[in-house]
Amino acid sequence: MLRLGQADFTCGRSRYLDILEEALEPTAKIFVKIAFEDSEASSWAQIDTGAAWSVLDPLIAKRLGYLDLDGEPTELDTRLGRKVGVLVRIPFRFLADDGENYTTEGTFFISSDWPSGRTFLGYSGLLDGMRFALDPQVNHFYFGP
Amino acid sequence: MGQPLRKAEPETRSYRERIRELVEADRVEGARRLLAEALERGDHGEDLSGWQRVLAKGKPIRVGGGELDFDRTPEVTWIREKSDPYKGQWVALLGDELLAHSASLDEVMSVLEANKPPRRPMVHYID
Repeated sequence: MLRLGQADFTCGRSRYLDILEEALEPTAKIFVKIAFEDSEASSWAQIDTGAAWSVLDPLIAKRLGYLDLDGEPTELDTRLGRKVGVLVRIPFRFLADDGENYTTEGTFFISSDWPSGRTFLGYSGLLDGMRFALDPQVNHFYFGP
Repeated sequence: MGQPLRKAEPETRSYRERIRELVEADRVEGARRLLAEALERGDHGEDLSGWQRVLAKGKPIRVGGGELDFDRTPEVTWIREKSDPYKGQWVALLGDELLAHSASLDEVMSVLEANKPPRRPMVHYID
């Protein structure tokens, strides 16, 4: 999909959103399309390279049975204050519009105290294990192993 | 006059405790180094497999598989223009068609399972 010299750099690309709901998010962000392994639906997740950890919407976690996974109980400072939760490993898929989908496993923080509708993809244990690139002229997100 | 050097106290806390403390301070690389030290020593009698899992880097599983996604502009337009009455609810959209909505994600997913749409819908919470 995206090549660096003679080698493949990424395997797929998708169109990302920079503003989802204007009133709530006045500044541009990067929302990419993902799907969890056991779900037939897609959802948007915000890329946040400045965040140490990824955060999974607790209702999606509950729906998919991820609250029962073995994990490490942890208390983290988040943009919404200090939250008690658990760190777990979860497989999910970056959905491609072109090229190929990419399934990876990452570490997510799940807290029942986290508001619905917000899933973040942070650096440690997730983005630190993959290649990604942006073409902000056309809102393309490139990804791959 | 200089302070007398204090002899370093031996570490009495468990590796699990020290790793958690580093993680909770967002010092992920420090936590990984301490975990590596613990695994190399191996004489502490602690089960650190949970920390080994969650402190690992993102792991590639598979390239390919599953249907490709497609242009979601109609879904986004729907959210921007028509989502106001659905605040506090989950919506399932395919193009500009609202397939299901409810305050309960389980209910929305049940509707999708009962009436499987032709392509993968987008599920979104209206804040």
